[in-house]
Amino acid sequence: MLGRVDFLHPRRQARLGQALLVLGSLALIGALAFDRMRAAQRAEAEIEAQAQAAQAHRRAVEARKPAVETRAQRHWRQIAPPLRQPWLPALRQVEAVTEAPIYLLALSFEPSTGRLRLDVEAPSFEQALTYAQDLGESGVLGPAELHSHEQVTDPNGRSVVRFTLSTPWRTR
Amino acid sequence: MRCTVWRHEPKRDVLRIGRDKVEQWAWTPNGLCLADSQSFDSNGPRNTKDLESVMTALLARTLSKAGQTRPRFDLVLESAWLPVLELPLGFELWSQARLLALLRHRLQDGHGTQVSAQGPAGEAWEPWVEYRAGDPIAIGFGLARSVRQLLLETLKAFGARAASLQPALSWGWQQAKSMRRPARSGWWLWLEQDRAMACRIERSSVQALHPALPLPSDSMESLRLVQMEAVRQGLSTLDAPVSVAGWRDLEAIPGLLDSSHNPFGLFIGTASAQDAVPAEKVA
Repeated sequence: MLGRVDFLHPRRQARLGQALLVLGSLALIGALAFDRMRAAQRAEAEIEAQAQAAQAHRRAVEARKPAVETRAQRHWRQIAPPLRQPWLPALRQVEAVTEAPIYLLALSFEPSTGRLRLDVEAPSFEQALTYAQDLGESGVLGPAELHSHEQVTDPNGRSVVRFTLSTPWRTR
Repeated sequence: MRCTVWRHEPKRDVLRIGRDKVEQWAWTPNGLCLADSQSFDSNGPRNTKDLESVMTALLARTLSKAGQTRPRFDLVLESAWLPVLELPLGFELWSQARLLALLRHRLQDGHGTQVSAQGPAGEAWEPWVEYRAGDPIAIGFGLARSVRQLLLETLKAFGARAASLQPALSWGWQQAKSMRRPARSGWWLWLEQDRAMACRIERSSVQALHPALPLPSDSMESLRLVQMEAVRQGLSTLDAPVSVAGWRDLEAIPGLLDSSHNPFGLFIGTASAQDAVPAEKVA
C-alpha cells in the first residue's frame, strides 16, 4: 500500500527494471518463436514418421495377404506372354512371301502351342509347296507343316488349291 | 511478537515534527527513545517562523550535548506540516501527470493560504502521489517548499544533515510492517500529536483515508471514530480488525488489546470491536 515516501530522494525510474523488462520480453518472444519453429519441425517429423509407418503397414499387409489371383490378374497372365512376343517380324515375313497369285485366306495364332496357322489359296499344288518352303526360310518362322489341301473351283471357274499349314513361331 | 530490524538498517536519530512540538528520538539499545523535545509557544496557527525558532532551540540544546560531527537525522513530518490528502479517483485509470495536477490544485485550494511562500522553482508545493493502478483512491502528500528549505537550512546551520524527509503516516506504516502489522484487511488508525488518521485497508491496499479525525482518548473512542468513518463510507458493520498505532509517548490509550512496542518508537495495539457501538446508533 504505502511505499516509502522521501522528499529528499525522489522516486527514480528504475532503469535496471526497465532493462530487465525489455530483456525478459525479448527472451519471451525468442522463446515463443523457437518453440513455434520446433513445433513445426516436430509436426513435419511426425508426418514423415506416420507416412513411413503407414507404408510399412501397407507392405506388411500386402505381405500377409494370401496370393489369390483376381480375374483381371488371371486374364493379364494369359495375355501377357503373347503380347510380349514380336508380332511385327512374323507378320512381315508372312506378307513378304504371300504374293499374287497366292492369297492368304485366314491367319490365326495358337498361343498354347506357339504356332501360326495359315489358310492359303494357290493356283497349283507345286506353288503351295513352294510357299510353304519360302515361309520357313527367313528364320523368324520355323519350317512349315502342310496339314491339308484340296482342289476346288473358284466362282470364276478356275481350278485352285486351298491348303492349310502351320509353322512354329520363333520368338527369339 | 516478532519484529524484524535488519542488521545493516541505518540507525539514525529521528526528528519528529508535529503541530504541538518537535521531538528528537535517539537510538538506544532498546530502540528509538524520546531524547528531547521543544514545544511551540502559542496555540494558534503555525507558520515557518515558529517552526524555525522551535527547531533552533531544540538543535542548539541537543547537538551541544551530543558532540557529534555532522549528525544525520531522519525528518518525519506530521500532517500539520506535510498535508496528506485522499484523492478519490473512481474506476478510471489515472496517469501520474494528471494525478500530480489534481494534487497541486487541491493543495493550493486547501492549504495555499497557510504557506504561501514561493519556492525556488516558482512552485509553493512539492507534490508526491502514492497510487497503484486499480486503486480507488490515491494518497497525496504535499511539502511546502518553504518548509523544506527552512528545515534543511536550519540543520545546515548547526552542522547537521537530513538523511530523509518523510511524512509520518508512511513512515509509521513502514515501521509497523516490521511487526507484521497491521492486518492485510482492516482499519489502520494512525495517531499524531493533534489528530488521528483512519485508513481502510483491503488486501494491503488503502481503499479510503480520513486525514483529520480528533485524537481518541481510549480504545472505545478509537472504535467509535472508526465506526463513524465506516458509516461515512457506507459500511454498516465493523467486523474488520482495527489497529491503532502512534508514537510511544502516546501510549496512554487505555483498553487496547495486544498492545506492543517496536524498536522504532511506535506502539501498536488492537481496538476490540466486542463492545463497539452499533452502527445505527452512531449514524
